Amino acid sequence: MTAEVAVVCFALGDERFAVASADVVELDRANALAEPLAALCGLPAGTGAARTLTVAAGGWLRTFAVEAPVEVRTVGQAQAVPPPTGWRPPLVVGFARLDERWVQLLDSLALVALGRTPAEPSSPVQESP
Amino acid sequence: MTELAALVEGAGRRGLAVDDVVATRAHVGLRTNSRWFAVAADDVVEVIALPTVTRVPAAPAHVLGVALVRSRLVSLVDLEQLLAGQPTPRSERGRIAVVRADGLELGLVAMATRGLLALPDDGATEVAPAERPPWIAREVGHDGLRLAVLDVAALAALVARGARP
Repeated sequence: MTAEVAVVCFALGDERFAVASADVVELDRANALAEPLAALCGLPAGTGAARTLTVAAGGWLRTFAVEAPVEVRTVGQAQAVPPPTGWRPPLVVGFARLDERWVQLLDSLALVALGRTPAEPSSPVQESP
Repeated sequence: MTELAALVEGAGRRGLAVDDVVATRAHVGLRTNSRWFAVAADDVVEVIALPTVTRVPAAPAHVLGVALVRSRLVSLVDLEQLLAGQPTPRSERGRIAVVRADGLELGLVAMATRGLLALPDDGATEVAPAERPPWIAREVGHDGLRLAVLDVAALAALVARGARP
């Protein structure tokens, strides 16, 4: 059983999110080609400085525009809470309480598939020579 | 004896006929915007002030987000949005009625709540018209209000499926 998981935390408007750091291949400054994650998720964008987050999962890469603060944290079982029973958010595997705020733990595989049909995959991961 | 006293005395002698007794069940009334809903009190876990809402990604319009209620997370559902496509206005008197059915828990957003209301039990009320959604079991008149009685199990199943209205 996993006791602690390293995550990359970021903001979208007033809400905080995290994705497993093992699935994050790059963090960078603003990039005009990055897809705005807030808009893809139907959430209002905030005023935080723009950052790009590149996620790899299921053999695919996708680069999203997210908002600062971006930081690496660890989430332990004591901080994690399962999603509600009544409606399970499609991108969220659970929640964690960090610094008196809820952080939504995102499913990397669902994230790279967000808004796409199976016939419209994102960029395949390039194997290093 | 006055006419009025005679009338009351006569009523007392007659007693209450069995046919006059209407079986009732306790409900909690929820006001969204212009509508009133009623939830059987047995299905209501608690009624609380509107908590801080965490908005979640890719949620249908009728799911406001999630909120912490007694150390567990509950999805908050706006019935007005589900029925009419308009959000329930937020107010200081805003409440959440936490309901549970078949192991699924939801928080129903309300501008105000009223209860407990003794509403006629199933058999004595008007069945909801065919155009009503399946999560409204029937409609009942009470104290000048028209209340749509919720089928919590049907509502919870619809929300859990992620169905959009």
